[in-house]
Amino acid sequence: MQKEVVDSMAMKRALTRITYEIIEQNKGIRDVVLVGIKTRGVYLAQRIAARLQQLEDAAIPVGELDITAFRDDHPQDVASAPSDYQLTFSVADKRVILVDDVLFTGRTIRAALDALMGGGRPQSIALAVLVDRGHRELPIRADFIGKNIPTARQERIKVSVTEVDGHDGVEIIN
Amino acid sequence: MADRYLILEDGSAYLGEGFGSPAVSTGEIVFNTSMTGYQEIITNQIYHNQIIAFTQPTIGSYGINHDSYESILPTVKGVVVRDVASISTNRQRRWSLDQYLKQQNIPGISHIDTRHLAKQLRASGPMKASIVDVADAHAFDQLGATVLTNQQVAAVATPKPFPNPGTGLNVVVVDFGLKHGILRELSKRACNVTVLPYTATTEEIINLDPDGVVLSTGPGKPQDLPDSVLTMIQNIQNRVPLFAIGLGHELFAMANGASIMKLSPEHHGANHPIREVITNQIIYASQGQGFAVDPATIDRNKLITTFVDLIDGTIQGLRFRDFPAFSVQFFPDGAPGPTEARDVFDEFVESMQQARGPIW
Amino acid sequence: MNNQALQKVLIIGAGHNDIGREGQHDAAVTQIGAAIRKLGIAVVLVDNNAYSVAAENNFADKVYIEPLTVAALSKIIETEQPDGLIPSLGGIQGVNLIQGLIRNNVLKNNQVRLLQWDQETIDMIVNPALMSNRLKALGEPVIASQVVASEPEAFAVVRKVGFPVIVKSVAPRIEASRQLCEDEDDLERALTMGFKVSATKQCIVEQSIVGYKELEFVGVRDQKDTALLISGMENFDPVGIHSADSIIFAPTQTITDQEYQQFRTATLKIMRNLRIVGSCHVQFALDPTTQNYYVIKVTPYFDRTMALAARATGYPLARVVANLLVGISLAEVKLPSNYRKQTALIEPVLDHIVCRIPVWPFNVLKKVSHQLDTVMESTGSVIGIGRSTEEALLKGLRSTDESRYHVIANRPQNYSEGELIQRLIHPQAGRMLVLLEALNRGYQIDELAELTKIDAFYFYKLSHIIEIEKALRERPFDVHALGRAKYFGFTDEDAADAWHSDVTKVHQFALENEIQATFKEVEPTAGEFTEQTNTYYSTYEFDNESQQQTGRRVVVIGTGANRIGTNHGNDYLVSQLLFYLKKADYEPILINANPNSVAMTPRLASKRYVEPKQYSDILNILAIEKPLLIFTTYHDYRLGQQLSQDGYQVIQINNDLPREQIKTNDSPAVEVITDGQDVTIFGISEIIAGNNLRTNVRGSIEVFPIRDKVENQAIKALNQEIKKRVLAFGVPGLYTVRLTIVDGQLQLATIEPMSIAMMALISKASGSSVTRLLLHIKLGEALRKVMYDYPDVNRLETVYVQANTFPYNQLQIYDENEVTGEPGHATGTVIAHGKTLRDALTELNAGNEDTDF
Repeated sequence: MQKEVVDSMAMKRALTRITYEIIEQNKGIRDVVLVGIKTRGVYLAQRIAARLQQLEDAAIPVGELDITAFRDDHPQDVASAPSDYQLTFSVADKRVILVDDVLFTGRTIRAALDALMGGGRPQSIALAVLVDRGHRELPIRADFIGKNIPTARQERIKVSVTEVDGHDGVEIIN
Repeated sequence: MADRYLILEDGSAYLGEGFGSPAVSTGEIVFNTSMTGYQEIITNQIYHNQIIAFTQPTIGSYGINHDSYESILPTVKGVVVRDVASISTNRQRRWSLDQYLKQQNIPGISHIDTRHLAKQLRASGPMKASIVDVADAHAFDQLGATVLTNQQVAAVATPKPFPNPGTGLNVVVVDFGLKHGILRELSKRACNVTVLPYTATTEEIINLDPDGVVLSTGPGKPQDLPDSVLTMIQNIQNRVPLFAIGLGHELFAMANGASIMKLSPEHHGANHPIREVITNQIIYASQGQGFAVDPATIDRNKLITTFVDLIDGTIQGLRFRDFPAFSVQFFPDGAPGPTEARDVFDEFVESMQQARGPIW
Repeated sequence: MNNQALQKVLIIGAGHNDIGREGQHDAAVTQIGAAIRKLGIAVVLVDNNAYSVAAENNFADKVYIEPLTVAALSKIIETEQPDGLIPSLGGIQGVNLIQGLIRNNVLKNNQVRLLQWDQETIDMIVNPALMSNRLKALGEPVIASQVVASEPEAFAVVRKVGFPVIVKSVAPRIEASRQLCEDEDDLERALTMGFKVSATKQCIVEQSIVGYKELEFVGVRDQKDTALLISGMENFDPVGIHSADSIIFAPTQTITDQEYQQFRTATLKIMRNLRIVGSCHVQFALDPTTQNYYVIKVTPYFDRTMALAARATGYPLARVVANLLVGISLAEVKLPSNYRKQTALIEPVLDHIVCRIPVWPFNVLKKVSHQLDTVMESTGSVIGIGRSTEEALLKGLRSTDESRYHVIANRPQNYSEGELIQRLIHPQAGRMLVLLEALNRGYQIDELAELTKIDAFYFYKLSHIIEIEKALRERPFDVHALGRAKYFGFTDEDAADAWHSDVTKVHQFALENEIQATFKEVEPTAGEFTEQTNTYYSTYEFDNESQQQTGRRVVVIGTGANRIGTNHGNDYLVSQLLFYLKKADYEPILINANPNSVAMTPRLASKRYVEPKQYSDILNILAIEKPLLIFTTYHDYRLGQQLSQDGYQVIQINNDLPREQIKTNDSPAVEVITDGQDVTIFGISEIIAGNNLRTNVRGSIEVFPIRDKVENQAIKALNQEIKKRVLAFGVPGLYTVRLTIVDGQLQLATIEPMSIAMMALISKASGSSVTRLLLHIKLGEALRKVMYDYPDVNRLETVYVQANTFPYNQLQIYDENEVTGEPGHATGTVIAHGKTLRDALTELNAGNEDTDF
């Protein structure tokens, strides 16, 4: 069964609020770069960047990370070490904001942090997620949260974005 | 029905027919272009001491309904229409507009060339006007001599706190003459609301341990309010999420260093396209404003412009850079008017939820 | 959708006019086509409507007069290779054709982009069940309904939801109606008809919501998802009467803001969800007691309600839509300088009231049931604009030009009490008189509202009208009574009738007492901004906004409502006159109250008055404009005579229908033009029997030109005599000289003004308008000068044919005495061409197998 818990309007608002919070917490957007985690995190990062551009009239770099190779919960793919630095720009001295759709165990984010290494030493790394569904297995928390959605472990959260799925929304599938 | 006159400060007079109360009254005349919602407009306290001319020609056609009040006791000074529907029954079986205005001691005048009046007011800006029985020199002298109060907020805001209970977030609404739509929207979102008089101090507000504070709509010129209001806003805005509407928005801007200017022509209707800056989307919302934030006086290190009227570029929304305090000039609750801006109430609720942190 | 490559677009026209399909589509094509061309995009138009204005005068870069079939369109697409296809201008027929083009991969293979809609939208328009599911998923309330393919299935549904039910056809091949069924007999009849016209042989059976309030909302949306409402309108008549047969008011009169916003929100939400680019019309039913509503129908293609919304508000809808559909956003739309810059983005607000009144074919077709129900029967409509509900209603009724509707002529009716109640419950056309009669007999307003399901508000307004009329009757030549009556929409004629006086006297009395009509602009901002639509209506108020038109102004009195018979052709004639008057540096001023009229297209006239055509209404306009010339057409012959007697220069153009219905072959005629001095022969035409096309054709077919006949030589021999006879006639004009064969010899029979149908046929065949020629000789120019660049018809290698279309099936007239196929019964005209007559007839039949010829 599927149940929509965030509709397109609420998703739009969540991204808007996250954008404002980024400005609030960084006292502006100086040195801010966004890094989206593939697939949907990238589109979310691009939307946040577009919003920042609207407000501040400045282009924010958006990087893309593919971390499927780095996750430690796929023991069969024996950790191919993060060999190649994936971003087209350096994160040295930047305020990096990682963007992902769902924060769950925290393992994706840990892998993303690994993948960021090698791009220089950032000033800071913060995390923005559209949905925080709890059940963390690592000491990781999000700085910007679209919506907290308490879930059971066996439930699935499906985030849809127009670019990939034809519509915006978040559904719980059980 | 008796012949009556609408006379204007500039010496013009319109012959019409009286309805509602037979009283003689004086106020500032403005025109409103909304197509529906005369009851909401008449009962909106932003029109305290004003005479409203409706451009929609037939007013009163569905009577007065119990769920369309925006205040308990309307304080407009008059209603000017081309044609009033003199019906004594309607689908919801409430009062007719004529009966209602009689009860509330508000005069109305019909058979006015409201299109011409609107064009006249568009050129001149609002003027003093009276609804009178005789349009003689004496009447014009009286009109000229009338000084309209600048204490509108004191006249319409609640003198005492009152609750509007709910089971959710705890919200304090500071009342400058609020329209009920604000309470309606907060109730829909289950908020537990306490309405405080506009004289409420920072301490009185904080003592209620609010999750968020709303500065309400209201009548008049924001500069006429005591400075203590601005101090209160400055003290509150960085402590809890703040949401300011209409007059509240103008006060929020002033508290953060911006100046307020007289707007001419004024906005009274729901037909202007408004751009939400962050998404570049265009929305429509109910407006009732005679003042606007002067864009040149905004400290861009402090405030972000969030909404802009695409007709004349007036600022329709602001947000503090460093904390969740934001404001809109338009009426996001509609009532009457488009409902697409109601979303801003969700934004406020979500800001409060976020400030409180997750519930697990 | 990206628009970078958009260089050429294809527009599929709506085909011949019909019930439900008046000029609104052609009006939309003329405006949208022109606006798109202005953007530097080429327009290819396909249509077979003889009276299409868009298909002449370079409104499109290329015009194909071809059958509206998938095969013909495929061929055109292959030849033309357009980049985009505009799907919304051809009505439901156009949508069906596009579905065919998609199925046959024609669009894909030729890389033609479908503009405005998703392909899915097409399926949903064609199949209401799909639309219903989509709306349900969107959370919009829809009526319980089910698709059935057989009678037993339909009865199973009825056992569940109970009578009454509505039956609609799935994927109808014609603009099909919703049939209300009260019992088993009704249901069987509706199913038979529904299955017959359904492409899938299916029907939808749904629960009836008869008696609810019916609301119609029109919005626009761009690719960037900006959407706004153009107009909210309210049907005077409840659900159960086809909305085209209903009286409609704009703006809404009796719904609260909460209800209004509910519909506005739903309209925009539906447009966004279906990703419609352009305009969309959504119909709602509102339960007056609970505020619950249903979405009845979503129409994203141009229809009469969109035309009404545009005319009612003054919002430049067609022009804006033209921009939107090629990818320009509402914020970027550039309008001519007479509009305020952001007009496309300003949600229209009105300070006037518009009342739309349908007109009926009953004066011509006697056998039609006058009962109003879910089947559309009106052939057209008019609007009245005023500053009060009463004024709008009275002006609307007056604009129908039917004195029997005329309120002041409301004499006591002699039906029995029982009959009156029957008529209140089962409304008939012209019900206004019945409602007034009931009020006169002392029925209570609440009681009437209950019986008729018409909002009590309107009965208050009708009572007020009766009250005003009574006061007028009681006080002859009383300034106050007359002033009040006129303030609420009465005229000098009404007062003259009430006072047993004559119009001129009353008119004089009114002017002496400064009771003078003032004119106000129809514009979309209620006076908040300066907008110059050059469209005006009259009222009796303080301020007059209409100033005398500058330049060589001429007044053209328009056609009024689309009626059965000539009117659809007459509107074409008026539109052409306007177009060529402007070309000749005149400033044409149109008087017309028909919202679907092509002549109302903003660029055709310099100025428009949306007014009734009663003598005193016209005098009010003439008092301001003082025109050099006045043009009248066939229907306004008497008015023209009257104005002429008043000293105005009136040019009366009286071309109308062929004089008689000719049912046999071999009725050749010679088509000529004369300036009174000289005669030019266009060529020879012929009327042939309809059964040359197929057996069940009742009307006849006009053929032009005839070249391959033996008697051509014989006719040529008559040329001198023809010219002599025409000159003897004297009056400059276009004429048809009919010939007969007496004793094997050709002889001249009659001379009559050339019919509008023949004018259209020659214009389309030669590719050049004969209306232009007519205008110039009527203006007194010499024939030689007028004709110098007219193409030589003798060189045409193509034969053109045209046939009238009839509404008999739609109106369910099966009586052999009534179903005659005479030109006076026509609602439209189809044209086709071919190398030979046989080819032309084949083309005429193509795509029209089910057309009521």
